[in-house]
Amino acid sequence: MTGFSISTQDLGVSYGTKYNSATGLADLSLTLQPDTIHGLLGRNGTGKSTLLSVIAGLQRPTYGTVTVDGENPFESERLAQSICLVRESGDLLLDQKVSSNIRLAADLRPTFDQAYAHELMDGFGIDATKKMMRLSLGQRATAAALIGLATRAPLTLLDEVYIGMDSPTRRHFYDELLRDFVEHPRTIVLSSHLIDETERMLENVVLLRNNRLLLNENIDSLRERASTFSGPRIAIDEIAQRFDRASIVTRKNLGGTSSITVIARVDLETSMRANQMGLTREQVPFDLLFEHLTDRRTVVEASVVEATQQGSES
Amino acid sequence: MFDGSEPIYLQIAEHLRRGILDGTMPEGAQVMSTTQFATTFGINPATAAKAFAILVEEQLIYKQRGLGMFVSAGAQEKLRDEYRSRYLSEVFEPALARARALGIPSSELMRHLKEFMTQELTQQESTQAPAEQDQP
Repeated sequence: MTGFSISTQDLGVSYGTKYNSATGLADLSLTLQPDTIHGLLGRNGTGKSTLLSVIAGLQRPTYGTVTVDGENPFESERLAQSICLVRESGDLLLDQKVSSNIRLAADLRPTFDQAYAHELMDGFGIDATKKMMRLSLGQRATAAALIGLATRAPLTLLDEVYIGMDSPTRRHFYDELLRDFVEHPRTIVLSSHLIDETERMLENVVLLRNNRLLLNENIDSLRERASTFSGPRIAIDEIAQRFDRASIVTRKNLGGTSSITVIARVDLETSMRANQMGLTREQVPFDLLFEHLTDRRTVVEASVVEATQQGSES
Repeated sequence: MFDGSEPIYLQIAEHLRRGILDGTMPEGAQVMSTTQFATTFGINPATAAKAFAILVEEQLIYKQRGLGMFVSAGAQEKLRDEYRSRYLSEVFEPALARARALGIPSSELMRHLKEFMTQELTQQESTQAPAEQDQP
């Protein structure tokens, strides 16, 4: 089984009435490659859950189109059994045993692996003979995520499933997810704001900001595009002039020394000049980069987004 | 094993190079597969694959279809040459520049270097000595 690809075109979702509406998503066009682990990142309320529920076919967009494996997922029977959305709220039957929920999932999902589901529950210390409502909140979240994993759906959407889990459980879950992904490649989209924990698992990053797409890019190329230069103020001034103003996301001055963080490819000449002037250059930690990019106060010009999107295609 | 200062795939590539250099991955030895690497270190397999691609390009490892990846013949020597040539410019010269900035006279540096080398010699002798005694 290979994973599904996803594409959206000018997608928008509005909530409420014509006269009193709120934007869930606006003008979102993107393509996600199959058999990849995508991270869907963004601050709270930027449309991550809305996007996932539209992709899962649970919600119809207000305008624009969404296509999963070549088809509109809304009310598609074929896609309904092949797209697995795990939400924090959980979609399991609380008055039923864990094992009954597993059996139910196996009946509905052709790709579901029951033996693997039980193996996972054992491994995570969840008693499958218990009713869901008898589990702690954390265990319930874990059980839901594990059932999602055992579904082995061609498209697995994990919406902040880690929230109830404690940190050793999260780590264990990430490792298990990776192991199973390696053996059974499929398309996985996980939304999260626990950036530092999840980044090592991701291949691609989709970043939403103010209900719009900010960027959709390979994580390594994104990392390579951000650098922090620090050193004497005069030297920083000179280096700063080599970059487009919009690509400089922060500038800090402390006495005679300064630092700038740029989101741009650093050409060889600039790199050599910085070296010559004794400036230090560091890679920006991903969570810091994420903070810069999603900060409402940061002005991210359209040119930056365009530049990063071109980079992901090359 | 990873820190945030460099892309993970470059860190993995460096980790593999070090393994070849210090002999933990001898020539002809099979290299862990991309998938093994991904699950062992908890990273995305695409990231691991990128690191391996770099080493293949540098001809330090080679792919054998259906069998896996192996350390190339002469890989250790190749790395040693490269690291040797980089040692002077990347480690020794900056160390000397720093000594100059601190005002350490070259006579003291020379004395220190001599001391270090004689110490190393006596250490080598003392580790070899018991082995010789064991022989009848």
